[in-house]
Amino acid sequence: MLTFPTIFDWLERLDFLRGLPAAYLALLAAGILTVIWDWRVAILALVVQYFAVGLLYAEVLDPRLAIVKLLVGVFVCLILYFTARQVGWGTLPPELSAVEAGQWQRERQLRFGRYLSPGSLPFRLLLVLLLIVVVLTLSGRPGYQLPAVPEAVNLAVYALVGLGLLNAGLTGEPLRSGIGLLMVLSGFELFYNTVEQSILMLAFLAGANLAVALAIAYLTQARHALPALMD
Amino acid sequence: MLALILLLVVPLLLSAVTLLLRRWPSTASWLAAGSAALLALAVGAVVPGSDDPALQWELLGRLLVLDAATGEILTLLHAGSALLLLLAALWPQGQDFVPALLASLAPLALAPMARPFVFGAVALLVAATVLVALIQAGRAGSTLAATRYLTVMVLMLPFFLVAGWMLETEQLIFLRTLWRLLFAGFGLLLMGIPFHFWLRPLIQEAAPLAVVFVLGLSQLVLVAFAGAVIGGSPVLAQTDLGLWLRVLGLATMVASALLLFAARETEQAIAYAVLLDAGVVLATLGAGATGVATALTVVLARSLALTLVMVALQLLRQEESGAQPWWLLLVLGYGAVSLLGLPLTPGFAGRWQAIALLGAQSPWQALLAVLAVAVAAVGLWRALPLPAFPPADRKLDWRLIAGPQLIVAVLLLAALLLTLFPSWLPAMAAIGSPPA
Repeated sequence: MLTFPTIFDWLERLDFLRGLPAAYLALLAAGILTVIWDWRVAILALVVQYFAVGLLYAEVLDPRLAIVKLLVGVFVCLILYFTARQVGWGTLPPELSAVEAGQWQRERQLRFGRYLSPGSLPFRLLLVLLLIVVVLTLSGRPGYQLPAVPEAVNLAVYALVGLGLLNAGLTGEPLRSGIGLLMVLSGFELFYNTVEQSILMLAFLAGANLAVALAIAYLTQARHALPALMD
Repeated sequence: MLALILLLVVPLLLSAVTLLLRRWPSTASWLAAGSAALLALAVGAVVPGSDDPALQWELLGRLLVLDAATGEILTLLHAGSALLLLLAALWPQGQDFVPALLASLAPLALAPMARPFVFGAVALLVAATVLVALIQAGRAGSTLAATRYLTVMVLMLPFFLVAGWMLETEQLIFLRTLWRLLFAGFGLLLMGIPFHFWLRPLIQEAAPLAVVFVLGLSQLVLVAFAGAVIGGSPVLAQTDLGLWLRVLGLATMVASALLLFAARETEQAIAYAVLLDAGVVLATLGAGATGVATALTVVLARSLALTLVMVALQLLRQEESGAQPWWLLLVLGYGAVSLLGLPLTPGFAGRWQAIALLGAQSPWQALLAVLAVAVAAVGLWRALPLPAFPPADRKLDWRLIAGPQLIVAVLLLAALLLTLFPSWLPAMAAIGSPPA
């Protein structure tokens, strides 16, 4: 008879990723989210980040609760994915005429040989690298160790909150800025749910995450509606 | 249980109904205004009196407490919402305005009732996500105001949650960390400088009545929440939280006065006048046991003043000819002056109480507050459009008085009554504040 693997089986199979590797994966995903502004890449990186955070939750919570956090993350990503698809991934709609499209202010592009990159990419890359150095330095110091959390969770909390704040501060575009806010919430919850494991609070925070994702989706729709693009 | 259903379930049901009526905004507004008025009456009837024991419910092991003070605040919130919805029936504010306002009432009601306050903080974040829809109201275009507002409300949550956890687990050896966390949380929640960056885009972008709700009525709940946090944790009296709240409040007042002095546009000036008022709220919250009552007085007066200002702005924006009727400019000016709390306005009662409270702490604090208001008044004088005397545009034909003029007249009358009887607002606020 075919048996479906349990959460515990999955955790056993993913043992090589648990602990510090999951924290580094979260750090990498958060870095990609901040550097690369393509919405497809960003949402994929957000899925990876929630997956890594889910593995870290398994270190500090009952795995049956950790899976709930992972599922909330997946729903958040689904909400953002459908929103991004509806607004054409933030690109210009094909029905725009050439004259109308000409009014659209595109970000200046830099040429590297055959490749083009957004003008702000080197700046964002530099900021992210600097912040990663700060996060790795601070999280390793005893004076900056958060109470009651393992070393890997400590690193992930610093990485997600730091890079999330940077992401939210770098742009006023609702989807990108909103992803930054979700990163901050994700990092903070990782710490908070370690010290406060009430089921009711877990449910409240899950609801708050979904509400924030819906608000971001609503604002993204408003910002990328056709009349808004012509503003 | 009836009170809980009225406060938490009925607004959501009404919101769903009005969502179905979005295509007919005027019908939805009339329906919502009537329902909100009935809701206000019902809530007023079920909340306990000041001598009665508080109503309590247990929800999944946590308490919801409705005492007389919270009940009064919620009654005012619902009554004020009914008035705004009535105005929205005359001047539609966007297709999502009505359902979003009604939906926000439920989490806003939950926030001051939740014990411990950490659940209230999460409820405030949920309310903020709904208010995002109220600010945007279905309008395509810039989302700066709503995005910034959401950012600030998301960032305030961690401070309150960690502080709540520390209080609950009695980690009182870290008292210094605890009050600093709460200080940062209050700064974000109550628009302390530099977390005011959403204020100006809000006044420039959002529908006028959405501005009144977000910066006026909903702030009643935020102040009540802040009062519950401070009053519910006696250990905070041993910390420097009060002192630093006063410092932040005064810094906000001084900065907003300077910004207002440099302002050149009407919306800019209104934003900084509201910021000054927010500074007064922060300073009074840090000024002892009666601070909450004073802060509530200030917010009540702000709600009325903002209604005058934003209704006048709405009517000025509607003038197709670009004319600026003198009576509208007068109403706008009176509302703006009331925001600053100058004498002969409804805002004066709260401002006077606040200055007296600050003076009791230190005469220098009161002097700084008065100076900030004076500098702001000069800035307001320079930034607001002045009505021409004798009226140059056209004479008001009293035989042609229409709905808008009548409503502005009623609002103005209410403002004048509160000016003539300045004890009314503090009396209302005193019922809504927890016992000192």
